[in-house]
Amino acid sequence: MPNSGRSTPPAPRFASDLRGSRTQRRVALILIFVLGTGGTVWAWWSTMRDSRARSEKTLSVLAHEIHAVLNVRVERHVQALRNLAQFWQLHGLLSEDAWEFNSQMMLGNFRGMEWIAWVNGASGTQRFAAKDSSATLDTRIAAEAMSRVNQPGSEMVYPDASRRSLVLFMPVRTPDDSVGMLVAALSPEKLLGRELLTSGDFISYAIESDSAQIVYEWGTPATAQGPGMAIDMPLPQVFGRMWLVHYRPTEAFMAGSVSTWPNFFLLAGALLSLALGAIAFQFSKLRDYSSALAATNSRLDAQVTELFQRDQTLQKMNDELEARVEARTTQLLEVVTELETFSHSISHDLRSPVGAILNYASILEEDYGKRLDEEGLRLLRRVQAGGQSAIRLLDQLVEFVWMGREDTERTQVDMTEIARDAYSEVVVGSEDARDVEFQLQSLPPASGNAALLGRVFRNLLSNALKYTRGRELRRIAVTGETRGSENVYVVSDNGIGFDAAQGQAVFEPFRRLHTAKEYEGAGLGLAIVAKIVRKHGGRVWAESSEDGGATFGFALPHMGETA
Amino acid sequence: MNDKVTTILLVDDDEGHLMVARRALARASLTVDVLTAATGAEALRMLGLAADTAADPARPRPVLVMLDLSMPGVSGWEVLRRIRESDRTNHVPIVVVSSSKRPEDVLRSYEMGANSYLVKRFEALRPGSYLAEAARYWIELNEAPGAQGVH
Repeated sequence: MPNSGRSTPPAPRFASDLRGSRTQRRVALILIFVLGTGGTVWAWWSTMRDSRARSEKTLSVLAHEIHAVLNVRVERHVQALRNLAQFWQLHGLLSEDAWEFNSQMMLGNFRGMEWIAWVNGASGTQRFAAKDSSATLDTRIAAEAMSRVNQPGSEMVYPDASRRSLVLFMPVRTPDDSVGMLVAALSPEKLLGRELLTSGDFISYAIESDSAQIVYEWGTPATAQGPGMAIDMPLPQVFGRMWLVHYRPTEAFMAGSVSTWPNFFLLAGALLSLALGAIAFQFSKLRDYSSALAATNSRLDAQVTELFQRDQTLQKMNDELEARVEARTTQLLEVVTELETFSHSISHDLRSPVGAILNYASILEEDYGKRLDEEGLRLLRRVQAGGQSAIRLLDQLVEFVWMGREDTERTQVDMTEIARDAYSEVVVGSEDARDVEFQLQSLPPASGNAALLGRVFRNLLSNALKYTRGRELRRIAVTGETRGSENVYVVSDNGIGFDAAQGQAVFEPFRRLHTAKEYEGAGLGLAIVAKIVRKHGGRVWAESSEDGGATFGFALPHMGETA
Repeated sequence: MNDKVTTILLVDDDEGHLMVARRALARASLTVDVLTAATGAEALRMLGLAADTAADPARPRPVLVMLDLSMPGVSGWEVLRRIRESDRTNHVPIVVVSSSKRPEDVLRSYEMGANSYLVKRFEALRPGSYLAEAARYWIELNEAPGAQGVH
């Protein structure tokens, strides 16, 4: 499968998947935060508004309550004083005892009255009665009272710095024309009573005269009050004077009424929305991550599946290929075995009939040889020679076929000794070999099968013997050397040589160097040599200069030996 | 030793071979009776090893069997096996005479109990003399353990 045909797997887009949703997530986060904070602020604001409204209402209720009490009691006290003054106007000045009685009654009955005094305008005599027995009439107040006698009907309120009371001046004209002034001090806090005074912790009030002078103050108003927290209400006219009471919340009221919980709510809301935003952010991030992961995962899955399929296809192809190779190998082995069996049985089965020819030829010669003439005997000999030649051919053919089948056991082989043995074997039976000059050099050892390598030398040397026959001086030489990674062995002779044009073809089976008429031989000797050498991983060659002898060489790889 | 007639059995489907062998044995002036069988089945019958033949005391007992391997019908291998299986004949020397040079055949023959293995030769001069030489060795030189009872 060509590589270009494959589609390259897409690069994971995990990061870009996340990047795409980041803007979305930011927008969502801001939205959540703004909505949350806005809602919180709104809630805070509305709570504050409600709270303020409640505070205003509380303040108003409190102020009205106090004012109502003040109204009633001031009215009553003033009325009581007026009654006393009228009584005096009708009945004349009271005796010492009567003053005592009336003043004590007034002080006893009217809680808010601190003291009461009478200043005679003419004589300047003074009478004074107070709840505090040690108190005396203030000289300033006495002087004021004296100066006011001449202005009947007018009343004055004077702030008593020490006692913080309202001082009322009531002119009295008795029937005996004595003019005097009834002076009384009212304590507003006492007017209000204990239950209302405790409210002074939350509300302060100041009484302002119509001359815009603050004459009385109770409590300290809060510095920051805000709108709607100022309530001003007038008291009933006291002797023609207008009194305005300013009610104001105190710090304690503000602290109590304007509670901090809306602020806490604001903070909590802000925190909550932040947390919500963060959670949403994380959640969306998680979701994005998980979706990106899922996308990547599915892509990976697809890739894995594709790879798996590709692998399976490859495996299948491989299996098919292996099966095919195996089938071919089996076929080939079958063919080889068949061929070997065939050639073996051919040679074996041919051997018997050829043998029969030879047998009968020899029987013929024995039984009828005497009756045959010269020509008949010659023909019989030709029959026998032909048969012998056929037998040799068949024997060599069998040998040639074996060569491929035998497993060669490799050992270190002393090639010099092998060559010497081979020569002594081939000269046996050839009587004319005595005049051969045989030269054997020391040959490099080889790794291989000694029997087969011996066969190589035997074949080459018998060839050399064969083709030097007829020469006056027959020379056969075996040389060898290590050349590079090879050991080279050469068998050379001064025989008739061969046609150099044949080249490597001389190693082919049944290729004869010369015609059978001149030299016996099956044409398999060199083929066997080539087969053995190739089986050892070597190579063979042949050289000849016409009539200049022949050189047959073979080279074997030297493995393991140190050259 | 030579006062009694000795019998050897040649088994081969090649009539020419049998003729050459007879002549060679005769030429070697061995005092033997030569029996020949052209098939494996015939050889077994002559040896009393065939299923339908009973042991006959008068039957000639060869002191040597020269056996071809490749024969139609009952092959030489079969004959070899049957000879070695029988208590009566398992001591008889067997010389395999075959045209096969295959090492497998040689090895198998020895494994099955052959005593010698000869490859057929076709010499123009004194043909079959190798057979006579082998027969002389087994008859005259070799001492076979069971052969004592025959004499």
